[in-house]
Amino acid sequence: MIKYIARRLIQAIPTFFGITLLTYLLLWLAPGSVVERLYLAPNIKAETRARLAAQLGIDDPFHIQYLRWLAGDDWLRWDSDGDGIADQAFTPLVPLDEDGDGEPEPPGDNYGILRGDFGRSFVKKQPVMDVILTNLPATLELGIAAVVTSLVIGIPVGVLSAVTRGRSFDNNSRVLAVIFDAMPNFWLGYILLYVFGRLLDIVPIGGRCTANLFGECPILFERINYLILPTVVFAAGFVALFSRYVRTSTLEVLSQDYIRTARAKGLSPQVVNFRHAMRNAMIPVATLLGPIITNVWAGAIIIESVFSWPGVGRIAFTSAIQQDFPVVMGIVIFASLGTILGFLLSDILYVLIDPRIRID
Amino acid sequence: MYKLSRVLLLLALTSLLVVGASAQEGGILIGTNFGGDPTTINPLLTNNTVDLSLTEFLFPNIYNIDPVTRAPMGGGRNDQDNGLALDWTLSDDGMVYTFTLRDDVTWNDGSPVTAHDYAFTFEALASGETSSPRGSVLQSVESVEAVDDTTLVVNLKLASCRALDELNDFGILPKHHIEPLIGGDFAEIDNLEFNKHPDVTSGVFNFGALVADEQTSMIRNDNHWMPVSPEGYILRNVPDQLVGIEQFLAGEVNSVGTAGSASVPAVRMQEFRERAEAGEFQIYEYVDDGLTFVGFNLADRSNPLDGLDEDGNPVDQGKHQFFGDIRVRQALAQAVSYVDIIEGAAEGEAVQVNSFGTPALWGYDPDIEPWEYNPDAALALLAEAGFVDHDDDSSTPLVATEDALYAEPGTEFAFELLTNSGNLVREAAGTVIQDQLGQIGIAVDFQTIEFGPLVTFLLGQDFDAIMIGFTNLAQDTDARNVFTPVGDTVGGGFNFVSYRNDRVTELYNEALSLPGCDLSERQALYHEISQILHDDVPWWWLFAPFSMYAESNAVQNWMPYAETRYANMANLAINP
Repeated sequence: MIKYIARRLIQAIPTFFGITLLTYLLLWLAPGSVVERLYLAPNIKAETRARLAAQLGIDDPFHIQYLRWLAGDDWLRWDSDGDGIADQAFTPLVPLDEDGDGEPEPPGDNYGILRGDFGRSFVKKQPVMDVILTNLPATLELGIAAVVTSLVIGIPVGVLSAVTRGRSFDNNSRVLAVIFDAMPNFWLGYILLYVFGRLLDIVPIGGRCTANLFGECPILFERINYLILPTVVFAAGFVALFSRYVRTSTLEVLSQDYIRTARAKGLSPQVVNFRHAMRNAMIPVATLLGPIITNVWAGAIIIESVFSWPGVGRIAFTSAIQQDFPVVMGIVIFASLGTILGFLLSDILYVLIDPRIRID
Repeated sequence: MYKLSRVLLLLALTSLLVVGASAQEGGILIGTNFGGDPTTINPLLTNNTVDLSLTEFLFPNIYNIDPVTRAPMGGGRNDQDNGLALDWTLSDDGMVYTFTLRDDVTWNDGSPVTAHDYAFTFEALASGETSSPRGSVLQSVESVEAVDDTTLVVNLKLASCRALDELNDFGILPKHHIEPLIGGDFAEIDNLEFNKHPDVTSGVFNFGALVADEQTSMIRNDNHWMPVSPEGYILRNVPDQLVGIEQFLAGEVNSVGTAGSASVPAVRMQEFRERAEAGEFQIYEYVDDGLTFVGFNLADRSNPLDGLDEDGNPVDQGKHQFFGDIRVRQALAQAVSYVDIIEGAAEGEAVQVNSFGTPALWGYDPDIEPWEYNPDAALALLAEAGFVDHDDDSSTPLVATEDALYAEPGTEFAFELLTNSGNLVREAAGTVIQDQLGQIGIAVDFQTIEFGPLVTFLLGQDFDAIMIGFTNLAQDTDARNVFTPVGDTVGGGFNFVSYRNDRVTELYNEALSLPGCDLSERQALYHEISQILHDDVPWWWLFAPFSMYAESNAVQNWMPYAETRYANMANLAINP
């Protein structure tokens, strides 16, 4: 098993670099820049914008920008005598004095992603890791709540649909599953906010904590009312997905010989359905966990914006709009790793749940 | 009767005490912020309305802005007073400003706010080592000297009537606090923790807390010379305007938008008027200081060139085959119904403008007759310019004859109109233009594209016509960067339409360097410029939108002005 995991992780390395290269290239190809986004006004001179672009390094060619992000720039231009002024440069790539003003450019101080330095946000002027980690708990809170809710509801619904096949519960749950699967979550979000937040006034209209002067946020239990609606919207699609998979799988399992044997032995339907059938019916759920992690990241972008939820999805959206490359790339790394590890986890769970499968 | 009088008197006194107590406690003011987290709370580095909504309550400025006239204002204390200057003088040659500052203003750590703080802030800006976008002041200011704590001398590079405006373009940093932190390296200002959590401030509020993507708060500064009533001011970060409005209607927040933005969308304004009329909340309406226009590329699009060469001599930029001819531009200005654009596209929540600027600006001339819809006159002008209906079929484009100045004979009159996607008003206005120009034989390829590419086309001068808007126009009407060759630089200049009219350039320069900078004399010069710009139509003048503040009834004594939501923070009381 360990060898298998190690092999999968090694295989993921080129995939990971491919993703970063492609994403950086797409960002670089997009017209405009963060400077034009933030500083486009008649009273801000073109020279000022050019200076700001140079400070951020976004006027450099693609290969320099990507290399700086990947491997840092402390080796591109450095200070060998400790006087704070760059005196050496890796000249095949960059000159010591780039702008030709007779003064060397400042020494590089980025270590690059390969050495754990995610860089600094162009907009927030903070380390990217700080930006992401600040918002990560909110996304995890919402994502975990949504996945747990969808499992708790989706699996029993799927099993019950299978054992009541063709009856009203099965028909209704299948129709609802199709509806919730097809329904855009931002639309469902607006509707629920309007009905439960505005008309009935039983939950707050967005946010994660009550506004207060000191920025304090109580423990989850004391603000559970903020979590209800985004969790419902997030989980709606997952419930539909899980229930349909589990229903199909359970139907297949229920027709197996060992289930007939169990029934013939006089076991109660509950024991047959939930103890004998459900474990085998769980196999497709395990395969879904990888894609679900990806979906949590993707869904967070929309749901967090609708519900003013301060998670990573919000940063992803605003950073992409503002062309804040370092933050977008940081989130891409987290999402890529999450996806790679999610699929690996699916495979491992697959083995644990299904004894017929062995990893070589 | 005597007893009754005593009871009534007692009740009156009690109610006064209750009212007094309520005003003292103040409550917490909660606004919605649709613009994301502040990028910085350092007044030197601010670059958007969210940043400014915070810094205006935290840091002093060199002088105050009169909320009614938007003109610089010195003098004594008043409700919105964060300005240091009691008065100022301009030397006879117009080259030296001398400010006399108040001596009773302190930072919240007890240190006095002095002329040295302003000089330090200016020095940081002038170093060019920070990421401050507020460098326009360096165009006209040579140096700033703090003669003593209350006397500031500003030496100009050239006599410029914009200098005073530019000197107030940034808030003031606490020198005694920042200088030790940066160790003489101004570049370090960009990296200060102070930028996110300013602990030394001098406004009516102290900084509270910034919770990423959630809220930013400020807490009443009880040591301020004019303590305000609200205990604090919180900006809730709500990315979705629709949700923010529902929060307001549900009473979760006190206002739609921040101190610096109105944010009631045009499609909801009528509903808000009716609800305000019914007493549900308060509103305040004004004409925004921004305008929407179509910029015509007057130069040869296929070969964008700067307007001036390195020696400052005019460059032949070629002519756009259609818009290089003034008659074509004037024809287009009469070919579309402004009523349809304003009533149809802008929901009726806008006013037609006649030239550069809006009725909110002092340099705007309301007496200029705006262009009117007259398709017959438009067709006659087009015919005079050499574009005719060659097949008596209005559904096909006009074609150029040999009389056309810049288009090859036989060229069909068809051009590309771009705007940014997501702006519903502009998208609708573009559709109206496309439809109505189509009716007189002009084919418009109307495209909505993402804002980033649009800016690249705009500044790269690679377009036929672009519909876009300018907001937050400066208080001063000077627009040299927009309508003279100085701003005609490919890739960055704001004279992206390559407009050149020597008389306009001359008038702008005259208005800028007018001895004494008398406002009425400058106004007359700007009115003359406005008339020329109206006639030349380098931009297709469309409309200035209405803006609306909405404030809950919980906010008492609310006194807003255009562009100033809270002019009397000191007297606001918020019912919990």
